[in-house]
Amino acid sequence: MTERQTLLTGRGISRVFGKGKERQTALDGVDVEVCAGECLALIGGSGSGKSTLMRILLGLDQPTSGTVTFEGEPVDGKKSAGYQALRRESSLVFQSPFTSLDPRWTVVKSVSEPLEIQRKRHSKTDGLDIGQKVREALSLVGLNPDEFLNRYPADLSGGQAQRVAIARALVTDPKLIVADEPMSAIDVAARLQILEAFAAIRKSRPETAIIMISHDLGVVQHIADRIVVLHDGKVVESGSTDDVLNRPKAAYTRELVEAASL
Amino acid sequence: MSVEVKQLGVSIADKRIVQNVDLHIGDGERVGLIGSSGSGKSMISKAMFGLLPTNAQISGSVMLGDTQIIGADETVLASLRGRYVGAVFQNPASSLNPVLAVGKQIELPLKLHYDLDKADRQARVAAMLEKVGLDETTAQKYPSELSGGQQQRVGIATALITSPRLIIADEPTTALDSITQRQIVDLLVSLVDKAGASMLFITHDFSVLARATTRCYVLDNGQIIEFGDTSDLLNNPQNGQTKKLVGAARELTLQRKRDSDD
Repeated sequence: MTERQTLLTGRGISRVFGKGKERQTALDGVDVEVCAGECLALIGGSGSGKSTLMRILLGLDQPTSGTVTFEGEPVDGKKSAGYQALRRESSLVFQSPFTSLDPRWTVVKSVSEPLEIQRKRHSKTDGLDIGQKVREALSLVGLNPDEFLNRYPADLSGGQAQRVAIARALVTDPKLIVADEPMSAIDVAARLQILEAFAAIRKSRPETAIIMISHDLGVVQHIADRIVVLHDGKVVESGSTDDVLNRPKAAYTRELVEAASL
Repeated sequence: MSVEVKQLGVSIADKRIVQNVDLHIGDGERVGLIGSSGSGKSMISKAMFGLLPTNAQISGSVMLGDTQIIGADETVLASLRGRYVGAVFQNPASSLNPVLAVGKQIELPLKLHYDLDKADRQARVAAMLEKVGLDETTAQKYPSELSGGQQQRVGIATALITSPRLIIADEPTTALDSITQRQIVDLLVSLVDKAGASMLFITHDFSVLARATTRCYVLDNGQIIEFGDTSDLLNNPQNGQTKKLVGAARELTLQRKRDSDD
């Protein structure tokens, strides 16, 4: 469907929690794939399995059956080549910026930390001007570095704090950014600024893939190329954003679309 | 029950949180209060419960029916709360008691405010569960065994069990996915209307505002900047800040193409 290189693939992913009577199938035979430079939205209501799938795709949880590969290498345990590459080349943005940022750290400390870690562990950042990279990342998400570098999270609005978290996620130039409900804790006006930050990332880093996990179709319509709809642990529909939102096939997707329209 | 707020002002440590707020809710009316995070929405709802922080300097008047809330004696407030004024909170997972079975939580306000025998109370709880769309076995369950939407139904049942005359719903749908959001708003509206109660619905989400309220007030920086019929306000906002909020909400509402409408 695209000549772009496949970055992350999940095949036949199932995840069962508990045993006997307590047995619950969180995911049931899910296939999903993300290409370089693509923005994929993972959509579904509470309990649909979105977060479980995210954890498995990032190698943070093992599927009961099925395989995950990153750049063709299996992600199978912490020693695997796929997992190691995935750790290096992916970053996460969480729902609530005030719990994901350290309240005692200034913006510059939070945003430069991933680069400092890379400098210690890898040679990737040799000779790199960390200060300059941090300023670039902040500018990209629409925060003036001179104004924000020395602030603490408590001096930021929710939208500003989330953009700091996004700057932190992109400062290492990852191949993959995974954002788990990055807007649901943010009020409506500030959500637009977060969307603009993601749009700016897509423009300036055309090779970076983004997986956006959300239950909000109003948000993903502006940013996603493709949508995967998850319901009760199964993929009920997947396709281009235009197809899924304007010509939904599955009953569940139709209900989601209906509920999200005015 | 009607609500008449006149020139309400709340300051904490000389910082003005709310100022010169006039707000009226007629008997049986559903009124919205909308504004971004930090605009002072929750302070106004706290004022109606007499739950403002003890270090707050308060001026003005809040009348619930014939009762003045500002400066009222704690025994007066206690006889109102949970009896004539019910509350539905944002996060049911933290507003429900995790170690108390659902049926017992719903029963508690009845125990506190009514002189009924146990069988009578339990019959009312069973009837209430049915009204909020939960089956009778839910009474024995604990909050952790329920989905977010079911938990919020329990929150609504607990608020409505005493037949209060005013419901204050503070962001009751913010934590829920869009399908569940719509179900909860519709449920709340139908139950409040059937009971003939008044409702103050606090939200930062314009899409639920239109379903939940007929009139609304827009709060910015602790002041009412605009009020009127909800549909007028959404379609033809006058104030610049309201325009910005409504514009953002429109942008974030799913835009569907005509051909998919039926």
